[in-house]
Amino acid sequence: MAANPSTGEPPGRGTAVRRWWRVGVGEKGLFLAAAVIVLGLVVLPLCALLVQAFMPHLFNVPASLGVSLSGIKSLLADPYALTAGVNSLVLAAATAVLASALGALTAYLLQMTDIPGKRLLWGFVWLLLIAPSFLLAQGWEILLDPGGLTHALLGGILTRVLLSPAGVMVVLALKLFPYSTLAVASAMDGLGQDVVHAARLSGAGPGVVWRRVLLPLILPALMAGGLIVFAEVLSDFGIAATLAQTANFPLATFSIYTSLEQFPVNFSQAAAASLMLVAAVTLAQVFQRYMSGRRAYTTRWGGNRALAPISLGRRRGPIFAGALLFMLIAFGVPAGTTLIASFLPSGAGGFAPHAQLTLANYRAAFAVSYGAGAFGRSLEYGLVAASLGMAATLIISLAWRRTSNWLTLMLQIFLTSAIAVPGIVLGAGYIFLWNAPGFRGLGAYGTPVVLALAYMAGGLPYAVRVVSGSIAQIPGGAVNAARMSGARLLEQMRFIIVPMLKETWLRVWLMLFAGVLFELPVSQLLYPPGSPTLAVSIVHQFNGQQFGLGAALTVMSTAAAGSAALGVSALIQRAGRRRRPSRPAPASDLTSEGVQAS
Amino acid sequence: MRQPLIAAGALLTGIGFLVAGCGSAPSAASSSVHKPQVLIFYSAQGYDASEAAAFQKATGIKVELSDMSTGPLLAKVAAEQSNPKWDVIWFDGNGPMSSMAQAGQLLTGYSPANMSHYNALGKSLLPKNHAYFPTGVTAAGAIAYNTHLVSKSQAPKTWTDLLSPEFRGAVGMNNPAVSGPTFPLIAGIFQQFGVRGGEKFFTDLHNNGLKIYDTNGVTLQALLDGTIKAALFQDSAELNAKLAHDPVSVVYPPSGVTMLPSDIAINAKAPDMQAAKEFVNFVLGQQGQKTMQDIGAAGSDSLFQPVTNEVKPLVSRQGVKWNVVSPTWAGSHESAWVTWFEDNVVR
Repeated sequence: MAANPSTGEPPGRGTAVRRWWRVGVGEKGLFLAAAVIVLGLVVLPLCALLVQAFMPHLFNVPASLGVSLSGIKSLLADPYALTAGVNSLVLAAATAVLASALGALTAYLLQMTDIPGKRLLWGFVWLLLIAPSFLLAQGWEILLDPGGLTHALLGGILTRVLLSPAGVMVVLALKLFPYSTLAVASAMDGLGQDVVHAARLSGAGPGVVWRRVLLPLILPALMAGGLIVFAEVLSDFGIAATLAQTANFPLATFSIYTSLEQFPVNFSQAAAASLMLVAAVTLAQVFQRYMSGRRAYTTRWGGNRALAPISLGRRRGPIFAGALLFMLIAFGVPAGTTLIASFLPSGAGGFAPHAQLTLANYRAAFAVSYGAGAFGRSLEYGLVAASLGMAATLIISLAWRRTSNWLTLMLQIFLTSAIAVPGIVLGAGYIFLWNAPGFRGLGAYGTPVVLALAYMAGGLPYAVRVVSGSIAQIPGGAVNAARMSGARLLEQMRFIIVPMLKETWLRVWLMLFAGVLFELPVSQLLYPPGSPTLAVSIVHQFNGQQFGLGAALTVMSTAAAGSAALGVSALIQRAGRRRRPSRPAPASDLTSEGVQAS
Repeated sequence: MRQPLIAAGALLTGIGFLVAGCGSAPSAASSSVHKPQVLIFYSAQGYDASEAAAFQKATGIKVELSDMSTGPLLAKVAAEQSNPKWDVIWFDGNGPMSSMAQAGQLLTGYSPANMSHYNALGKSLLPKNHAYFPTGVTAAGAIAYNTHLVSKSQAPKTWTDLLSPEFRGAVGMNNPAVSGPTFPLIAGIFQQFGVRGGEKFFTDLHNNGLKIYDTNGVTLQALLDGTIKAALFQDSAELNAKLAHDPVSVVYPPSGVTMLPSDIAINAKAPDMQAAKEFVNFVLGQQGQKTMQDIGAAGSDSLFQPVTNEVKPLVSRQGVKWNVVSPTWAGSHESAWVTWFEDNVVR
C-alpha cells in the first residue's frame, strides 16, 4: 500500500505516513463513496426484489431462506409472458437502431451545423424528454383511434400502419431518440478542430476525416445512447399498456405488471421476468464493450479549438423546415390531442364531435383539493434529486475513471442494466429494502427521503453513462499535469473537469430533473401518505373519469416545466457560445471546409 | 492537506445519501408512534381525498392519504406485508379483501356503531367476522351503447344480443390484465353461463370482432367517437358519461350484472387502531356517505348504489338484477381465467 507513483505527488511534502494517508484515502475514499452510492441506491433495493426469483418467501412472515425455482418455472410455463419477453427484446433492438439514427441526425444538425432555430429545436428535444410517457401514449392512442379525426382524414392508413409492431417501434423511437441526441451531442461537443487539421494535413479528404476520425470518436456515445434506448424500451410501460396492447403485441413490462397486480401478488414471477430483462441489457453491454474495444477516446485537450460549424448553405431553410416538422410530429401530435381534450367539456375528452370549447377544466384545475401543492412538491423533488444526483454522478464517474477493477466493472454494468427494470419493480424493491428488519428501524420508509433516493436511483444510470462518456474525452495528461503542479482533487475538478464539461453538466441536470417531475410508478408506491406528487394527482383525476381536468393539469404543468427547460436550454446554448469566442478560430481556411458535410 | 478532506467529504456525501434518511427518520417515526391520532390511509377510490378531508375536519385526526390505482395499491400492501404501515385500506372488489382476511392481515370482530344503518344489501355483503365493510356497490359491467348510432329499438337487451351481425366489429370491452373491474365482470359471466358457456360467449364475441381497450376511459372514448357502437364496462363510468350529456344509454341485461362491492378494512396490526376504527365508523355514517357522493370532487365513483339507509343513490338502478360472485371461488380461478382470456380473446 505504498503511494501510487502515477498520482504524481510532489515529493518531500510531509512524512511517508501522511503521504500514504493523502494518496490512499484520496483514491480509495472516492472509490468507496462511489461503491456505497451505487450499492445503496440501486443494487441493494433491486436485489431485494430480484432475489425473490429464487427465494420467494424471503420477506414473508416468518421469513424463509428456502430456495425455490417456482417463479422461474411459472414464468417458463406462461406462454403469454414468454411471447411478451421475446417481443420486448426484438422491439428494443429495432427501436434502439432507429432511435440512434434519429438521435445522431438531430445531434449532428444541432451541434455541428449552422441550422437556424437551434434553441427552438433543442426546446422540442427537451419537451420530449420532460413530457410524461402517459401523456404521449394517450395522445397517440387517441390519434390512432379508428373513429377519430385522423381516420376520417386519412382513411385508416395511419391506423393500419401504426397499430402494428412496426408502428409501436416508430412511436417509441420518436419518444426516445432524445436520449441518443443528448449522448451524441455531448460527444460532438468535445470534437475539436485540431484532430481535423491533423488529418487534413496528413492528406485526408473530408470523407476520410469523417470515416476515420470523427465517426470513430462519436461511436462510443452513439452506442451508449442506443444502449439506453434499448434498456428504456424494455422498461417502458406507457406504450406497452396502450398502443402495444391495441396492436395485440404483448410486451414484457406488461406481463410483469400483470403478475404484480393479481392477488396474491406474484413477486417471484415478476422478479424472474425482470431478471430476464437485466440479463438482456447485460449481454448488450458486453457486446457494446467488445465492439468499442479498448481504444482511448480523449478528444478534449488544452488549446483544442472548437469545431467550426458546418455550413448548410442554401439548404439551411428546407433542412430547418424538415427538422421542425419532425419535432412537431414527435411532440406536437400526441401533446396536441391532450391539449384539445383539456378544452372539451365532455367527461370523456378526445375528439367528441360538435363539442364547444371551454375553459371550465382550467378553472377547476385551480380548485383541485388533492392536487394542491403537488406541482410545487414535484418541483422540489426534482431540484433536490437532480442536484444530489449530479453530485453522486460526479463522484461515481471520477472514481471509475481513476480506479478500474472487477468491482467497478460489475457495478458499472449493473447500473446500466438497471435501466431495463420497470419503475414498479424498483419501487417495490425500495419498499422491501427500507421496510426490512434492520432498515425499518431507520424509519425512512414513508418519508420524502426514500422517494428522493428512489428518484436519484432512477436517473443515476443515465447520468453516469453520459458523464462517464464525456469524462473519458478529457485526456489523462491534462489531469496528470495539474496533479504534477500540485493541484488537489477539488482543484482538478474546479479548473479542469467541471469547466470542460459545462454543457454536459447542465444537460444531465436537466435530464435528471425532467425524469422526476412526471414520474409515476415509483411515486405511486413510495410517496409519503398525504403528500401526493404531480403524476399521482393527475392520474387520480383520470381514474375518476375527469379527463378534461386531468388534461388541463397535464397541460399546465408541462407548460410550466417546459418553460423552465427552455430557460436552462438557453443557458446551455449561451455556455456553448461563450466557450467558442474564447478560442478564436485560426486564420487558416482549413476550418470551414475541414469537415464539410459532403 | 485538503485532498484527504475532500476525499473524506466525498465518502461522507456517499454515506450521507443513505444516512440522510435516518436523520429525519426518528422524528417522522416518533411522530406517528407517540402522537396517536394520525391515520395512514391507502385507497384507490375517487372519493378518498374528500373523505379524508371531511374526517379530518370532523374529528381533528390527521389523515395521511396514499391514493393510487388498485394494482399498485395491492402491490404496495403485499410488499409491506412483513411490517404494514397502513391503518385503513379501501378499494373495489372483495376478492383481494377476502384473501387478505384469510391470511389474517385484517382486523376482525369490530362492529362500528354506524353499522346499524346498513340496508339489506349492506347486511348481505358484510362478512360474518367483520373483516371488511362494504361501503357501496357498482356493476362490474353493464352494456352501454351510443345513442347516435343505435336506435332504442335496435339496442341490445341481453348479453347474447351483442353477438348479432348488427354488432359485428362494433363491441368493445376492457382488458382484465389492466382494468380492475374487468375480471369480476368475466367471473360473473362465467358464473351465469357456466365456465364452458362463458368461454364460448367470449370466444363468440371475439369472432364477432370484439375490440379490447385498456381501461374504462379508453373504451368510453371509442364508444363516443363511434369506433364501436356498444361496450361492456363498469356501470358507474357509463352512468357518468350519461350524466355529462354524452350520447350514451345504459342497459342492464335481465339475467343480471355482477355486483362489484367497494370495501374498506382495518389492518390487524394498525399503527393507530383507534383512528382506524373511528374512520371506518365515520365512512358508514351520514356525513361519510354524503361525502362519497360529492361527484364534483370524486368523479364517476360517486355513482355507487348505497349500502346504507343514510343516502339516496345519485342515479337510479331500479329493477337491476344483481349477481353476487363468491370472492373465494373467483379468486381461486383468477390467474387461470385471465390467462385464458389473454390467450383466446385479447389476441
